[in-house]
Amino acid sequence: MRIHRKTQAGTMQSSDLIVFVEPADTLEIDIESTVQQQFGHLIRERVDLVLGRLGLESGRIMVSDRGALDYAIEARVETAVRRGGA
Amino acid sequence: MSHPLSPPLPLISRADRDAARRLVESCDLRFLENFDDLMGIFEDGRLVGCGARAGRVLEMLVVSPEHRGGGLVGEIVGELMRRGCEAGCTGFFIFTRPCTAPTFARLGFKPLVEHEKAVLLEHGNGLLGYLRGRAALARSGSNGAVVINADPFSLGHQYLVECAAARTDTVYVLVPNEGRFVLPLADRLELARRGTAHIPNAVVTDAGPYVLGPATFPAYFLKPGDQPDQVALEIDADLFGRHIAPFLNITTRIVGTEPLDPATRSYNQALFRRLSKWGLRLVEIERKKIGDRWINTAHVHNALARSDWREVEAFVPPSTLAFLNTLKPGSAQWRAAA
Repeated sequence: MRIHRKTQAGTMQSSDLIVFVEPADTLEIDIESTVQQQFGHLIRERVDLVLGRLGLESGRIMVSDRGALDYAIEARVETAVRRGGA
Repeated sequence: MSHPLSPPLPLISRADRDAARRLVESCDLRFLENFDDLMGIFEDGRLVGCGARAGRVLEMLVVSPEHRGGGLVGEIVGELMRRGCEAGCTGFFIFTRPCTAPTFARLGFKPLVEHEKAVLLEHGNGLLGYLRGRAALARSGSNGAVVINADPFSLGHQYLVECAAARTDTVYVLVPNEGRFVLPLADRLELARRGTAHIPNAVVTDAGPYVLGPATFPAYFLKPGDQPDQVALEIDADLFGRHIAPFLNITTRIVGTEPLDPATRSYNQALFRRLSKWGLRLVEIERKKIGDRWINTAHVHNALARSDWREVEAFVPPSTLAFLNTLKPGSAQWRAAA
């Protein structure tokens, strides 16, 4: 699967996240979070897990997190990737 | 009993837009007509919050006093970003008063410039990505920068870069990405590279949206004759001084004197006022003339629109002329620019 169009999923609400995806030559993941220090690495792990499960080979994934729990991160990442990828 | 709030809705009708204008002006802000999306939140038919997107800049973000702290601005910002993303935007900017900057910081916007009168914030790591992408261009020494639109690259631009190169170890030629240009960025960059190929210590790169961009210099996008906003000009200078100059070891900014265009002159003055705060020098080089005429982009556009190729040839180096010859003379593209 590769990202072939620019799209996003999620909201700016507290405890949610926005995931922007766009086409790219390689797989690039960029995460920013209001709880970067405490949970940045866990967010990254969860994102990697979802992208691995979906088999994403390329795209720029930008996550702007406002304290979302793991199931919310999975859901928004998967939605954005499915919307933008094939 | 409280009335439910609507989700963010597009404001399209005259009545809705007038309501947005009143709301924005009630907070002492200007209602700018030039937007791509205008959204609002209603309570029982009354507009209680609004915001707009013009390209990548989110503006006029206003919530009525009784609804502040209720997450309305986050909803409006989120919806504007969603639409902006669908429209092809990567990364968003907000220009706001210092007192409201923390609200946007909480939404994940990072302050790039903190001026006394306004704060420029960015969503996403755009600036970081921009700088990292140019890490290979960073050279040690006492370097300089010139900002030229290269629309097209003229003898005036060439002279400015030559003067700058003589005064610095490396001169960075920064070409702004966005603005009211005739030529696309790729062409302007290529013309700048060809026109400076004979200058060994010149490095050409694009400025991203970070110099004379819509976020830092919205006035650049106003029609000719409109007065630029002094604060926006100073914020452009501050962004350059705080982020770009240190990364590329730039100690000097070199500009050409501006005898004609008040907007450019204001910009040079703003640079002069702000750069010293960042330990930078501003050097002004007397603009080059051909005979008794100043070389500037407007003259070149004018000559092209009239298909006056002898005049064009007088203003541009051979590399630019060769490129312009590949465009159809007197085409609609050039007439539209005049």
